[in-house]
Amino acid sequence: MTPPIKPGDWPFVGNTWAVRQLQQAVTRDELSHALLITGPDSVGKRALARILTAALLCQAPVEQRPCGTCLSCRKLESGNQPDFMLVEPEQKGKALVVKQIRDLERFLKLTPIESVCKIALVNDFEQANESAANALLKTLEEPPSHVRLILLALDADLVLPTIVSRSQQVNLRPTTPQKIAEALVARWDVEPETAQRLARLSGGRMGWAVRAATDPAHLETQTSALQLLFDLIRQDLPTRFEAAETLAKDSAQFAETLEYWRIAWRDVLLLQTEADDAVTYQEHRETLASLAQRQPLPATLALLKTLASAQAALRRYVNARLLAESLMLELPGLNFR
Amino acid sequence: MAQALYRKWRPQTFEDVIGQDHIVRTLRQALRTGRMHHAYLLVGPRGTGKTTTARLIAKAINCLADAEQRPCGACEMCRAVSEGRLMDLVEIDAASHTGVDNIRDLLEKVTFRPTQAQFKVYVIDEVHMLSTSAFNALLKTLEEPPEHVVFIMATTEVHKVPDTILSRCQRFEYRRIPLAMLVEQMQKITTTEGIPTEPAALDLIARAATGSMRDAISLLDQMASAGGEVTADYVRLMLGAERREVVRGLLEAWVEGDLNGGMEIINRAVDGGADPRQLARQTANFMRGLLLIRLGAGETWTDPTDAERPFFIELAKKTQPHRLVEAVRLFSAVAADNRRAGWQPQLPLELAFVEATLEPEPPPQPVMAAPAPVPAPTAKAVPTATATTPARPVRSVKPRPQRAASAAPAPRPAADSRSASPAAPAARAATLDAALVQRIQNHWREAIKHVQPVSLGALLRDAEAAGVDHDGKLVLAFQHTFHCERVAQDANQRTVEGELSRLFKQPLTVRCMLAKDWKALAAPTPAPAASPTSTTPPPPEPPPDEEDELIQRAQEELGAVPRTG
Repeated sequence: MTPPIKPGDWPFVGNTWAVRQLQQAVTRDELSHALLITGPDSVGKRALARILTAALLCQAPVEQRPCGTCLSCRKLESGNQPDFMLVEPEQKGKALVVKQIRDLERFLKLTPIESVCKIALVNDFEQANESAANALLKTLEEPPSHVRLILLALDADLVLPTIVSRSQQVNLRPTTPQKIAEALVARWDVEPETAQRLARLSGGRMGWAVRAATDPAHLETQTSALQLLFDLIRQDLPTRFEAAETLAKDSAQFAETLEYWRIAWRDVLLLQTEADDAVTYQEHRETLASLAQRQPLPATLALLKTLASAQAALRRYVNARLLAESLMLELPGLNFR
Repeated sequence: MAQALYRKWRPQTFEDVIGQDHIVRTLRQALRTGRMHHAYLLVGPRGTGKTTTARLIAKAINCLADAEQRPCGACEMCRAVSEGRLMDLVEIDAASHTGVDNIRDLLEKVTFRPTQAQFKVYVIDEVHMLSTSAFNALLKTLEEPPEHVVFIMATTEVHKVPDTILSRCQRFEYRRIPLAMLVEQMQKITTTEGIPTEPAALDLIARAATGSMRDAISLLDQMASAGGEVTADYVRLMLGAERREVVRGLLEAWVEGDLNGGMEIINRAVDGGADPRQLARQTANFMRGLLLIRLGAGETWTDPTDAERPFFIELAKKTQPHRLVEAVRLFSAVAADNRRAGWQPQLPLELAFVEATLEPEPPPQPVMAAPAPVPAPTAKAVPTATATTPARPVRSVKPRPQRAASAAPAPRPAADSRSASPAAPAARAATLDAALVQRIQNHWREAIKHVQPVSLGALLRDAEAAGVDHDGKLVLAFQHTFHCERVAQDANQRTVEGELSRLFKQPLTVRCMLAKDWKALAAPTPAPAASPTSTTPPPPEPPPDEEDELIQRAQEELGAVPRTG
């Protein structure tokens, strides 16, 4: 179908089709002026955008880009490349505002200083407020010919349809655990066994796996979230409410805990439907299996929905304490009803 | 550096504009007869040809060729527009120039005569983003511009444009471009550009574009940029779409009730790079087809190939329309759900599949037997917390017979409630049973929190659900005349009735009276079965009844002590 280009020329794991497509486009100088890279959290959007940027600005011969050694690559690495601009919400969770887009447009209007093109990377574009997103429309449709815009967002549906329609969309998807494990062993020198485990836990998200491999504290959150869940199931309401109080104190961590709980209950659902292979937390299989036995399938279903809506509620800034407590009432118990 | 295909292929003549014949015909006629309007508003979804038409108009009215051939594309004016160097064509991006100052700037220059062309053309793109004052500043000029000026405004969101602007413009509505036309145009492009493609690939791209030409060409561009032939497999890979066999397999698993099989299909597909929401969309699509077949309208579903059709017809025989409807609903919800999917994007799809596959619950229990539908204190925090009543709540919500029975007391319009016949509450009052009144009493405080506006809720805090009168109406006993009169006002009373009916899942009518009147009314003949509580004065704190599960649970599990007195 496509002429063979060795994937892996770009240090990016998984989503080979996307990498190959971008590589081809760069090599043939056919890259669209606007790219929208979407995909779940930690799946590698930023990593891919960085490699792409480096490749576009690199001064090495086309087939060696990005070389990582030329002046441009080094400047990019240290954040001094004058033809590259990163735009992102000023604070995590804040909106991208119209002033930032205007600055961006001003930057793009000038001709490149050192390279053949100017590149703007807009991170968390789903956070752009309405006027900011609209302000980008015309630039996005017909920018100056030396401009390449790269937008990153969680999901194309969270972005204005008029924006999506003006850009080429690359939707990154979770990678198979196997590829992640291989990459961890090959590039990050992780023990094969640990790599296997991390890969399974990562849910196909390379970014998460790398963070977990390099920073043990990252894994800690997950372990303690699961431990808490298994403890809570055996405990009575007063104890649960105490736990709720602790949980509600840090809502970022609360949200993450909920995510792990959801994965655990999905495992229960998988066990109940005998789709055992897909179970994420193989090491807790016994506990999960006993839960699967004690609880009817519809109840698992209901609980998973409750967890999802709790997450949504948390994003809308409801009272975290109240939310945690109500969740405690919903959790099933082993010797408690 | 290559130009994007959609820019390269922007139509340069009216013939090239696709799928908008109604607009093109009108415009050409106007050009021929010399009746061009001075202000146009072009409205329609993305990628249907608005900006394109705006530029074509600019060309056509300035074109030097004969009226019939405009725009000719060859004269000085046409070329100047195509190359973006006609000084009398002013294109404004309203989304980045939203303020009134930008518009004032523009208006100052409107009066100057054109430099080269016959008309000055102002194209205001994304006009919906202009501020209110910017719109208003435009009004006078838009109504009666100098005769050498034409305004063309384009927007995707016409509801944000003020009526005063709308009424001053000739308005053109753009339609989504039909699938066949998208395919045809892409074929033309691929042939001219020398991009080898499979016909099936173009079909997939056109479907994904949902009626937008720019989306279609942009996708095609993207697929082609990888080099080599654009195959259907490659397009599927890029779009995260699944092969039809896989979707059929999932459908089969659902019909057979094969939970395990379905879950494995989903997980294999997602591991293989399918996008779960795409898969949900495809599944919902097929299910819709089954539904059409099942309802005898199978021929209107044109999607399946002739080879596939017998399979679908067989499958349709094994399903029930109501289950199909339910399943379509569940899967479409997954496809449309754009909340962050979390770390396991397939989870919503798995949930939908399990929920659709599970056997329907045994016949719904009568609503009254169900645990109190009144919001437990938690319900406010987590809207769906009640989901513990598992599986298919939708199905058990509609107790038809019940509704018919209790709807009886409703129809009579409430006469002046306070001066209503002071007859003693008779035995006839049984339509509202005592248990319900008790429940309303128990949950009164929570119930009124749900009453909007809040001020009405505040008035209700003065009241108690005291009992039932002889018309079967729920009596609200107030301490103060003021509160009573306010709630008894028609609109307010209807709101209260609506809210109570919704919360207690039973059509309720209320009657407002003062507590002392009610006591006087109820005292002489305490109706034994109807309203046991009506004999006592409105209880300030309902006794912790065994019905009240919440209190009971709180006592057992939290060691709560009920406050008495």
